[in-house]
Amino acid sequence: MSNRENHVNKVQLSFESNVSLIDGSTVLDFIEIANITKIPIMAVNNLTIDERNKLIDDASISKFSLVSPAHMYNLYCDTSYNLEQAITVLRNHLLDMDSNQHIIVTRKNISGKNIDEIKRNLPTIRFQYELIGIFSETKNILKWAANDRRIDFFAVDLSSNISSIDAALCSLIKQNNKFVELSLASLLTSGDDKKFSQSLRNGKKLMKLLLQNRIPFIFSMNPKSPLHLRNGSQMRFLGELLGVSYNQTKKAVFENQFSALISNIIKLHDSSIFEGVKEGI
Amino acid sequence: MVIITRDRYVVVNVITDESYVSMNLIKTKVWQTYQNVFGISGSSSAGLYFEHFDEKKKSGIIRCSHDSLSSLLTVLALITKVDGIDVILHPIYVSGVINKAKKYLT
Repeated sequence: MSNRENHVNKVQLSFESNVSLIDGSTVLDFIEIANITKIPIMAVNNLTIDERNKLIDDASISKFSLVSPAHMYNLYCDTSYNLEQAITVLRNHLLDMDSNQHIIVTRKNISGKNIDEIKRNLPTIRFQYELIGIFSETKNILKWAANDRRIDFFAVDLSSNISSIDAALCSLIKQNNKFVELSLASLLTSGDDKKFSQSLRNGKKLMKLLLQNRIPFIFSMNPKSPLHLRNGSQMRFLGELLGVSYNQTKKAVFENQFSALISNIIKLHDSSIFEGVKEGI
Repeated sequence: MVIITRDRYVVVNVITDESYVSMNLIKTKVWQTYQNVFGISGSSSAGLYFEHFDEKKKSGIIRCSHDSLSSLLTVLALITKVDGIDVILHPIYVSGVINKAKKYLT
């Protein structure tokens, strides 16, 4: 059997970058399913770093062991490591990690009505969350966000209007090394065939634009319920519906999210004074 | 020229909160979703066959042609509900030999 066909058997690291706790489910409910479907890292929306640390302490009595990415970084990486070295070390650790151990990442999705409102909120948000995404259908806001160093992802829901993402914005996103995050949830939760086909159409259009402009993208399931979680391999198959081949989505389910996370962990680390400048020992 | 179709056996684990899920309903759901997404022509050339399903273990083996493997795995990822019950059809192993696939049934 060729390598292409044997993908289910191979180790595929997965990163679910946008878990929402709005349906009454707890983080532990999600962890239980993530454990079965082999998703070692989950980013939880609207969970601050302090709340996450409290959650990790509370979960110590359960059968799962939760850790923070900052703790892993302190444990396995030297402050002299650059981004690539840190990513390699932590990735290798993830491959050998105990199956009951899961990494919880904090994340915030911002969506303001105007630029001023977002500008006001961002400075406080930056130090409370490890990943920041922006969701907006206004072109001006997105163009401003593309130039802001604090924002990591541009979240796009396939069921919404995607006309705000055009070639000009793509160019800005590429220049500033940011990622477009495609939420595949609407493919699973669309009530009827009409909505499903609309989401597919939007997805295909967007993927064509992203591939043409070589914009790095990531997939997320944005699950509202634990049973909507899908691992990296399954997300890549869903990506095939959007007209992108399995091999082209290699980095979209783990590598891109992980590099953004580690880059932010280094920025938020005590030894970091400014981007690229660290405190001497 | 005789063309031999190569088969693939996908071991599927059903993840759900409920204690019982009817495997017949799962089969129907897989067929329906396959037809919705890839059409009748696609589903006929996929050669889907439900080899083995164990309702107690909540796992089974689905056979398909090697060309349609990625389509089948896409369909499995798309299914969220069977008869109103939330489920994940999680593919745990793919093999070209049924005996090897049977070893992975949980």
